[in-house]
Amino acid sequence: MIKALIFLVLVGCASSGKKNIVLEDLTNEDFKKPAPARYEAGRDYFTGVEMNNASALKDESLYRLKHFDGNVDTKDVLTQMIRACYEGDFDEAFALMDKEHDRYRENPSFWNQVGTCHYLKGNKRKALLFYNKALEFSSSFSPALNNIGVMYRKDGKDQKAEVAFSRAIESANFAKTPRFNLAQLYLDYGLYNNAIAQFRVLEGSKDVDVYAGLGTAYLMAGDYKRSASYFGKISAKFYERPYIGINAALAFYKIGKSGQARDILSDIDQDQLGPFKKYYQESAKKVGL
Amino acid sequence: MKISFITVLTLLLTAQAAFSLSLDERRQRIVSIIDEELSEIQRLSSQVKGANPDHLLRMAELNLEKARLWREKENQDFLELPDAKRRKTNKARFFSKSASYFENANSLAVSITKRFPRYRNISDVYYILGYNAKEAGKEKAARNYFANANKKAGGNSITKVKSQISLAEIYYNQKNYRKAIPLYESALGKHKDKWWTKDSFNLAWCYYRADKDALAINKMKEVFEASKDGKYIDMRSQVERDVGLFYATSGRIDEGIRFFRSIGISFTDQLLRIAVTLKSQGKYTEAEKVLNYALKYEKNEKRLPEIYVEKLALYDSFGKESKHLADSKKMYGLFRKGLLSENQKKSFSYQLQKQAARLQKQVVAKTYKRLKKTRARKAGYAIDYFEMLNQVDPSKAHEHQFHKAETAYASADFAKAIVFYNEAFDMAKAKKDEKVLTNSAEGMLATLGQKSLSRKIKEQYYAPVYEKYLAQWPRGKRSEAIYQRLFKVYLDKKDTAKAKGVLDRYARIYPKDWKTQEAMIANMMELERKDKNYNAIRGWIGAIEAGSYAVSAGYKKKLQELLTNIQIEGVQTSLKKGDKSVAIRGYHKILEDPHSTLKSKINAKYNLAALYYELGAPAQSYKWSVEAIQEMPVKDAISFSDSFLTISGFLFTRQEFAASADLSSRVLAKLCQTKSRKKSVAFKNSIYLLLAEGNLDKTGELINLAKRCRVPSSHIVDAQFELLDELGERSKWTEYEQLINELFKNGDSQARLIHPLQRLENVHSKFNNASKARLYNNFKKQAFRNARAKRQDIPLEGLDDIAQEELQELVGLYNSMKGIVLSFPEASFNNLLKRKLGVLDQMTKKAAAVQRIGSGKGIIGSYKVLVEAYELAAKEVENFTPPGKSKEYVQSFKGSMAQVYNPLRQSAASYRKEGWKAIEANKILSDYNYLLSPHTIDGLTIKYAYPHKAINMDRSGKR
Repeated sequence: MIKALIFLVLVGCASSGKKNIVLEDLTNEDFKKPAPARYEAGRDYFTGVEMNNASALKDESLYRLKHFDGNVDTKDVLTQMIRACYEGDFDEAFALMDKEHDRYRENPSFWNQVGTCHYLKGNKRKALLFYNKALEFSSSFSPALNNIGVMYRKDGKDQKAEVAFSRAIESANFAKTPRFNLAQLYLDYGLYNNAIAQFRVLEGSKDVDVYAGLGTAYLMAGDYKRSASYFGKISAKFYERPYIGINAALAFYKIGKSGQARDILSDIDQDQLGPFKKYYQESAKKVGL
Repeated sequence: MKISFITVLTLLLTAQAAFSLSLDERRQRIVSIIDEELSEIQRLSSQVKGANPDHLLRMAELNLEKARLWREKENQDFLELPDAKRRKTNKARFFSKSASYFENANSLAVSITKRFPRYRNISDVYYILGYNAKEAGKEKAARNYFANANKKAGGNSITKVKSQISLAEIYYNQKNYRKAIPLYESALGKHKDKWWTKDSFNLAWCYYRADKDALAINKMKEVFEASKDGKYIDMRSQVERDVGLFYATSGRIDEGIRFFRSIGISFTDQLLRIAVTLKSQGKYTEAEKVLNYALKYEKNEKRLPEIYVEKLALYDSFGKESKHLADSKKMYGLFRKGLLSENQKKSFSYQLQKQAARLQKQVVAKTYKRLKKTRARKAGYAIDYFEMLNQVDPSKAHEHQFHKAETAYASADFAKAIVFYNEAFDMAKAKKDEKVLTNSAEGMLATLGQKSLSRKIKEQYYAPVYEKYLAQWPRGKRSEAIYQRLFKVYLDKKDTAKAKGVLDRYARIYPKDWKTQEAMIANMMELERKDKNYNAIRGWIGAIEAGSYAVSAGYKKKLQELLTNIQIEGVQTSLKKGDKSVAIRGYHKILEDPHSTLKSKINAKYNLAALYYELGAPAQSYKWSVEAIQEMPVKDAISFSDSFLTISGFLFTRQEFAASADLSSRVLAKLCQTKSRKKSVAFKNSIYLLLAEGNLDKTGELINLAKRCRVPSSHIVDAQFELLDELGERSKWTEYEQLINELFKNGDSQARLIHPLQRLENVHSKFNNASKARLYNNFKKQAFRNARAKRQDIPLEGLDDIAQEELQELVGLYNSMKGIVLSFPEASFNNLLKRKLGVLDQMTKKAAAVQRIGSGKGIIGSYKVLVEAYELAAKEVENFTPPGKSKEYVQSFKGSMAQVYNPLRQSAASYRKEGWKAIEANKILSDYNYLLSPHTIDGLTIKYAYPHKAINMDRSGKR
């Protein structure tokens, strides 16, 4: 007889947030979930992002927003959510997630951003779970693949990161961020040719980091003129950043602009050198600082 | 002849005189007188030597008389014998004396006829012989003797008359009336003695038999008239008796009535008598005719029953069913008027019973089984008879009523049968006739069981019949079944009160028969359920629980389920209709209801979990999921595991990681001993969430649970490696070490263990635990060997670790090479150079071995060491100047050393180039890459490190 009992088949859930439920006030409407916002890959990009010196990835990532004094139009919910995460305002970010959960429940971009928020909050495992959640909707969703690569990268598992970035590029041939990350990775290991191949794709964006990457790569390749040329496209104010300034100085040095080279190195705040300290010193010695 | 007459007269006188004497005495005296005369006649005859036929004739007559007297005595004595003795007595011997006298008489007469054929009184002799023969029962001989006597007798002699009469009587007795008539006519016309009336009476009958009715009636009237005269035998009573028949059968009823009226006698009586006579003669038509006349002419209603009694007897005798019934009904009408005497009632009752019984027998018999109309007609007759008998024979009215029912049943007229049986039952009950009562009850039940009885009638009788039966016989095998039928009848009528009454009675009488009680209750429940009379059902269940009724344990369980269904029915209806807001409140009410069954509660909890899930309420959905799965049987949990896992997934998306992990863990625990593949899903869901939450204790517990639940070991091992990572991240080295040791026992984990073992080795080294560091170093190498042997895919980091280990040996060789300092004398130099180059050769081989490990870092590291070593060796050889030697010697020495260091340097360059090529081709990510870089700025290797390492990608971007 018990077999006749009706056991509800789960069909989906409506969004009630964490509000208190008053049984007497419930209506059938409360059980109706809003139609999920249809995910359109072609429209999944940031708009209204102002980031003049780091525009290569501006429609894909807000990561460098604060590093390049960028700004963004915040009307878009997903933009608001990830911006809050980057700004460390996780309460706001998760509140937005809770509120918008149902609407974006089938949106891989949403889950990817939830993952990133967790990542930014310091919980890599949760981040990975949500990146995988995003991949449930599209196994070739390049942002999630890229972000998994980011996690590996920051975890020192560069070989795995390389695989992840490469997969992200394979999944979305025109994706810029994984290409950018892969180029940076190669460059970190001195694989300048591989780096150049990726950076060149992003060259037209006039992105400081892309120019710096190309400049460094050509420096490694012994093409000092071209290297200096790329470094020359970068606003001088960014030479203060060691990962740009030291190699820029060496490039200028190699084309005979020793003075400029020394000026650049002089402008670098030595307290901010971090891992570049020894390299800075070697370079300074080389250019005669 | 004179003597004869004298003798006869004497005899008569003697007889009259003897009236005062006893019979024997009288007989003895007559015999004495006869003997005296016989003696005298014999004396006279002997004197003439028997030549006088008169003597012989008289002697014959006397012997004959004597024979009659003795036969009379013998008869008397014979009759007085006891029966047994009489049966054994030899008659011939017993009657021998009379027989001897008869024989004497006859011998004498015969001798006369032979010796004196022309004897003048020969007719008398023949008459005597005829008489003797008649007495002896020799009718044929008698007829011949009387015929001879008639023939030999002259004119109007008395002997002629008597012989004619005797002969006529013989013919009469032989029913040869036409021969008798002339003899009677002749004799009676010549002589008129006192017997004339008697003989004329016979003649009248002869006329009647010869269809000469008019002569017969006239002769009867003559006899009647003559009988008034004392000279003749009075035959009036006989005439009165028989003449009516003549009138009646000849159709001269009016005349007959007048005749009888004239003599003051009721004609009806006569007609009845006639009818009886006719009937006895098998003359049905005549008898009926007579009786109909009687009815027609009898004006006194009180006398009609007599006629009907005869008519009924007549019809009965001749099997006239319809007429019998018709007259029975008329008779019954008279009965109702109280016109029947007691005897008539008895007679009528007898007729009714006889006919009814006969007809009923016919109806029941197979004879008319196929002749349905005939059978029905006969049944109808029988029923009519029984109906009349009810009144005519009221003392047995119940029996008659029962027979009525039986007859109707036998003729398949069940509609009537049930009515009659029912009445018979009531009557028998009043009469306290157990037999008829039982039979009537059985009849009723059998009738109700007939298919051809209309449903309407059945419905009308079921309940009253069963109630009557049970009131009479509340116990017994039959009653047991009837309770159930009666119950069904009431139930079909939806008369639950009465149905329950039956059940109560049954339960009281058969308290241990749980099967029947259970079946009855089940029906009641179903009815109540359909009517949604839930309170009633609760009442039933309560009564069962209280022991008022006996049911099986299984049924009790079913009732619980029914209660469950009832409780959830309304809610489920809402749910089916999509009215979820009502349903959710309904399920809460079920949980608040103290009467709710466990199953309904489980169902409610599960559905609440699902509804809250649909509402998007994680906390409530989790709460009810946990309770539902906790209480749910494993079988159901298997069915709904998908749902629970979905809710678990929902909790995860709503950032309720602990709850999500907990719910999945509960699914695993619930399905633990099953073979469900959902166990793996639940385990994986839960374990990664617990790790994400950093709840390492619960992670460990869950892994142990998974082992007990036989989750596939590959999933468990994966989880253990994740846990290992997490323990490493948190520097929980003791647990880390324990887990590694556990995993080390697993042959399939060897490849994956290399790097963790390296990590553990490093930790122990850091803490100066040299022995432990060595131990895990050995474990690491062992794991590597095992993995290779098992052809396991070794993770890159593991390969790097092993390569690093080997690289250290390469570095060691390099250092030993560096330790070889070139010096003179020449022989020593040559030896040292040889050793250095030998070490270089070892290094080359070692580098090749390192590279075979397959680690990118190892490959590049080995190239780097080789490049450095070869460059250093070249440099040392190039820079060496033999001390204290001549310029020429030095020049010559340097020249010959160029042949050593140049190839060394070329090898170094070659390894550098080869290494870089490998780096680029394989995109090897090694920290040594810079060292092999083909371009430096005056020895300064270009370095780069992007501070952000990598950038998160938040959206897909423009394409």
